[in-house]
Amino acid sequence: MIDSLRLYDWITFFYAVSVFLYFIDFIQPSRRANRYAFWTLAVVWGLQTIFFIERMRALNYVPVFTTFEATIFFAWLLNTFALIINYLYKMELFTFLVNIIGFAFVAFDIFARKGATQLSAPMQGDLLVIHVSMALISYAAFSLACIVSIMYLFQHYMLKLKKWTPFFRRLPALERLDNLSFQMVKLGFPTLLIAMILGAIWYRVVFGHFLWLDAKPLVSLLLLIVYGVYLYLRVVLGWAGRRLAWLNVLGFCIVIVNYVLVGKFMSNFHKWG
Amino acid sequence: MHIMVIGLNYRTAPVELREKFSLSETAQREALTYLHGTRSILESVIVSTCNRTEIYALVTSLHAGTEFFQWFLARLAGVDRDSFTSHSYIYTGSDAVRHLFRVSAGLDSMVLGETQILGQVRNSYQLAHELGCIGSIFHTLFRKAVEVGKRAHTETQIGQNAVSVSYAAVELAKKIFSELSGKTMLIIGAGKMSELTAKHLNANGATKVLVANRTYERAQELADRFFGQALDLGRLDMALQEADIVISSTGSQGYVVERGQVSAIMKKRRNRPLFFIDIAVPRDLDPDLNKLDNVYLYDIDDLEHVIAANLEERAREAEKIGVIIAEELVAFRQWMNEQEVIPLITAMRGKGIAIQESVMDSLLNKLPGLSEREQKILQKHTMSIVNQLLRDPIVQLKQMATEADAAKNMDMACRLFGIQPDGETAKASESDERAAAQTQEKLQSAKDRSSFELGRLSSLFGEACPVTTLSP
Repeated sequence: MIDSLRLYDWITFFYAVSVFLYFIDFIQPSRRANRYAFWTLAVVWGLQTIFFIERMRALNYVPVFTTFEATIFFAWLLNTFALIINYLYKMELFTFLVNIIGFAFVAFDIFARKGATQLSAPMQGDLLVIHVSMALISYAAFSLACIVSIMYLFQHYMLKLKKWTPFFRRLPALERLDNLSFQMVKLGFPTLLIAMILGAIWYRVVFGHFLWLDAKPLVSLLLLIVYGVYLYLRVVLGWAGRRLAWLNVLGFCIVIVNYVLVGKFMSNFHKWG
Repeated sequence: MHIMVIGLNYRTAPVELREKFSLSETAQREALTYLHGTRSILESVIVSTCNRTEIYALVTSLHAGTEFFQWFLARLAGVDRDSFTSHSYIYTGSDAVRHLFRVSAGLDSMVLGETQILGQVRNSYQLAHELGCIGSIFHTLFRKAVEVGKRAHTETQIGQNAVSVSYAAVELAKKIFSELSGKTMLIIGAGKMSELTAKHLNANGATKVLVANRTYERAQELADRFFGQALDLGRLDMALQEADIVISSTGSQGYVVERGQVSAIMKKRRNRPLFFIDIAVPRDLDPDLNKLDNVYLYDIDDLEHVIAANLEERAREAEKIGVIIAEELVAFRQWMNEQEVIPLITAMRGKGIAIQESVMDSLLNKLPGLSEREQKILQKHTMSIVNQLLRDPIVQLKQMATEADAAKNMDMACRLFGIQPDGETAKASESDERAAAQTQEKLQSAKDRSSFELGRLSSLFGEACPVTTLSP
């Protein structure tokens, strides 16, 4: 337990170094800084993985039940996606932005160390573990879709306004960004749907009735609708580009609301420990 | 020995003067062969392109070298010496090395960061090498220069963005489409400029080509060049539905493509992005096209702006190359200092060997009748004394050559060992040897290359050279 928290300090430290290096590379592009930044990030990923497994062994359950744990898991997911995408597409700028979000979450956790407490017994079970993991995976996918969409919008306005800045040179092609955000939503939408169905079933099994009037399922339903609309416009009507990118940004705002505000203040049941 | 460079480039000389100095390979061969024959020019390389003609040389005296080269180059181009000197520049020592590094990295070029000059520097070096004009110093210097050029292009992005209109179009296309392969290109109006742009886009993967033109024959002609398809201007809407990239350059006074027309087409295209390039003046494409979603329009001015921004970017990258050059300059200077020591060490060893030989002679005189084996043992052991005595001084000398007050230390070493109290003569004698060896070598190689024409230049320099010390 103590060990895992010390490991956590290391994670935070390396994460900070990685963000710093990416920032340097961003301000003054250099291949060396970028390479170091990438490998530091890979080290962070390794530490996060160890941390997670250690905690799983220490507590004998998949640690996703407290804000602290869920956030760790979430940052780990972001990092995993970022590394994979960076490996496939060579998009350093993207990694940098993902990194900032991941680090924000990890740093946020430092102030919420109390989160290391456990939840009550009925909160545990396989179904619930899958429910929470799925929900977090979908959030991670939506975050990435949002980051890529922001890059898209930025690049789009640069092209329209004909502003040629050094920053603009480092962005990948519009078509690629557009495709990538689509892939991410394609991943996020079904996982969110599964998470909601599993959650509903679990609640029904444990408490004998469905949970309707909780803020969490309601906001999640809104999310499903927003991303459903995105997929419909894209696949059926053949939209692409600017408007869809804005829709992605909107969707992500709802994700944040759902994760932070609803989880903290509004929901009676979905309260973080 | 001094390194120097003398020459002129697009900054210092107008084109009508420059073209007189632009040497064909044959002329370069003859000039190099001539320089090779002079005693005071130890090594030389001629770099001659349409934007510059420069002679890099290792000379025994800077003053005499300058005099000689001014006369030599003026004669070569058939201009009088004053008009050459007023348009030329001379760098010596470290400045000459820095200049060469800047040239090969493309920092001295008309288009900052261009890559062609690196190949030209490499070829010049190879030609001089082939003719035997290169010794150990220029061998290292030019290898370093080529390395600097390579580092400039691998470690910075100086040559990576477009500086011509047609490449700027390709660059923008790559910002919109992740892959150009499989994309369809529509050319409206079959002008020269649009053809060039199309060629670059085509080379980057946009292989499907449609050509629309007022006269169908001309369209057909251009389409055939890209294995594409020609069509009438009347069928433009159809083509716009298919195309991803549109290049327009007609002589039309009004707009060829209007906003309303395209916004209707975009719906049918299911919002696939459409990239317009307008090269025509007056413009062919309605500027309001750019206001449509997923439509990107650039005219000739926009492309020029892209180039201007790219050049600014290159200037930023050039600063990074300055750091690389400074590094390599320090490394080369150190290497040069080490070279300075070599004649000294040779002299030291020579002195040691001479002492040992005279001692052996007197020993053999004093002890006649030694067997072969005894003589060998004596020889070996006396030699061993000399070697052991000299080992540390030599190691220290090499070390001292790389330190700050190298020159002073070298003088001190000379005084201690009583060898060549002044370094100049040591160098001179060494260069004499080198020149002699080169002459020997040259005679040899001249025999090998009987086809070699020494005639023309020699007759050109038939009259007395103004600097007598430098007569061949």
